[in-house]
Amino acid sequence: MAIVEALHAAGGGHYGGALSVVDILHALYRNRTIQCGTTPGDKLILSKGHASIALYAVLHTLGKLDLNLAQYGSYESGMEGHPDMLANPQLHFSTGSLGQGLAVGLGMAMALRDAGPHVWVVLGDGECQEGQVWEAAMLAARYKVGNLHAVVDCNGAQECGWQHDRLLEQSPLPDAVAKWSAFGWSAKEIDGHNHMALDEWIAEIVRSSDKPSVALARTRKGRGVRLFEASPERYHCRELSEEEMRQARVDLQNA
Amino acid sequence: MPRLGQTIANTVASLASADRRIWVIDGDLGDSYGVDRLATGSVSDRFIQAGIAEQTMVAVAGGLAACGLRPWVFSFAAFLCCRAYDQIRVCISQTELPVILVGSHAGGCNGVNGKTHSILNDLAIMSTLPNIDVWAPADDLDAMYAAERALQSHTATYIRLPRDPQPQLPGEAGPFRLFGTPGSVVLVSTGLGTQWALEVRTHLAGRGQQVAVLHLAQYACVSDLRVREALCLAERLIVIEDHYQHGGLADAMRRQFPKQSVMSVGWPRGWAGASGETDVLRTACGVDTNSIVEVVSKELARERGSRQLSLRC
Repeated sequence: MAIVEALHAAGGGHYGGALSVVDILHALYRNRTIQCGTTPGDKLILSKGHASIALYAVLHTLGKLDLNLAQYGSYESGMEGHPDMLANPQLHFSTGSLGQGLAVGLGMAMALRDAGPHVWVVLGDGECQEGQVWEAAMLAARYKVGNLHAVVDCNGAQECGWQHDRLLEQSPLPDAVAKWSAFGWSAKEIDGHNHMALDEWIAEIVRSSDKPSVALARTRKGRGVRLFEASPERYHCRELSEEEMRQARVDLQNA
Repeated sequence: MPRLGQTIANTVASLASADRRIWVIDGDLGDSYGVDRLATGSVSDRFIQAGIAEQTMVAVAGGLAACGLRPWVFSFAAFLCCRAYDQIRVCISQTELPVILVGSHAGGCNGVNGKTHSILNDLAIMSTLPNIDVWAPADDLDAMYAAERALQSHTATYIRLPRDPQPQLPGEAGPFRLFGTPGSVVLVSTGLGTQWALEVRTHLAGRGQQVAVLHLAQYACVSDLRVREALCLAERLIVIEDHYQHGGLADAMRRQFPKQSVMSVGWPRGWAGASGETDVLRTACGVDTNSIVEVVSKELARERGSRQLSLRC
């Protein structure tokens, strides 16, 4: 509810992608000791930076940051529309231009691999259309960077996609497991809204460190709001009318 | 004579032996500028061969720097600045991380490589990004000095280097170097342009004409008070640079010295680069020594004429 209210107060935003990724972020922060800056501990990069409100909401909910989510997107709130590590030093890196977070995480993982911490990068399935993701995936596998882990929020929809031609492949990232496996990663498909499945995957992969690992987390874009889930592309990023907001509130209150 | 990239590589190897924070990332071109030797030496455990992946190379450096390390990224300037410009913008400039970018083969003189491997506007695009200090060494002394200053700095640095080895210039390296006593006409230059400017200065001296050269190794020196003082008598500044005539040092000088006449000598607008020997390319584009000598001679004559006119008045 806080995510939807904050986006509505800011005049709209990425409802669908924020609601699809929130369980993933919650599980990572709940399971791991994630620390900022040069403080020892795991690192997390939200490479799909347009879902920043989900990150702020999780950090706030878990008591890691004291934020007034209603200020999201306003000047000097520390909650930029896309994560900014200078505006908010509790964030591990700045993102927003898609496709860059995995390589940044690779650099962090290489810096930290002898010290023990793990690095977690959360990507979108549409984001995986950026070539740099695969540059970084190939390099991470070559160097066997086992403390680097990615979670792809496979919510199955993006802003426009290929809806204009239904004869074309519609998935943002077809054959995801096969692709990541072919690039030398330990790849597994999981339910991105099932906390037990997420917890198990996290516990499992931190024990094996011979190669980088990725979870293809199947999620629902706009999860929890029927309006969003029924038209995921339409509610990728937009403003809501008062009637749409009323319907969203009803669904979230009943969730 | 070693290439300036080789000099930087040697300097990094020396610095890295005492500083475990230093990491080196190369984009599979290290043998073109001497960084390949770091893959097997004392820095080998901190050497990342990124392969042909400039975007990832720069973003990886951002990640390393965010963890307190000091990464050096090497490639050809054209690929580093253009292929990875967004990564430089987002992962280095906007994050204020102290990554050091070394771009070899900058400018227009790249032999058989031609236009795809040349970059004629890197000063324009790199100097306009916030939080990046830009250097254009003219010789080995400059290259070593720039490398040491980059490591001392808390901000990111871009060092642009010409492809070919360059002769050592007289004097001591620093953010800027002055050759001669500045008069009313001064040649201002940076990087390889300074080698060209000094050829012109020597040529003119043979004709009995004296002109000073002010070499700016650190681009930010255009606003340095000492540079302003050095140019206090100058009325005509002729900027010579291995860069487009627009967007580079000449434009920066025009902004800093609005009362002086600033003339630009560089690669002409509309020229995209080409394969060819350096002398041939320079002559084709009017930036060879003889052409620049003629430009400067005319300016010296004009200056003499206006001085005589003002004396008569």
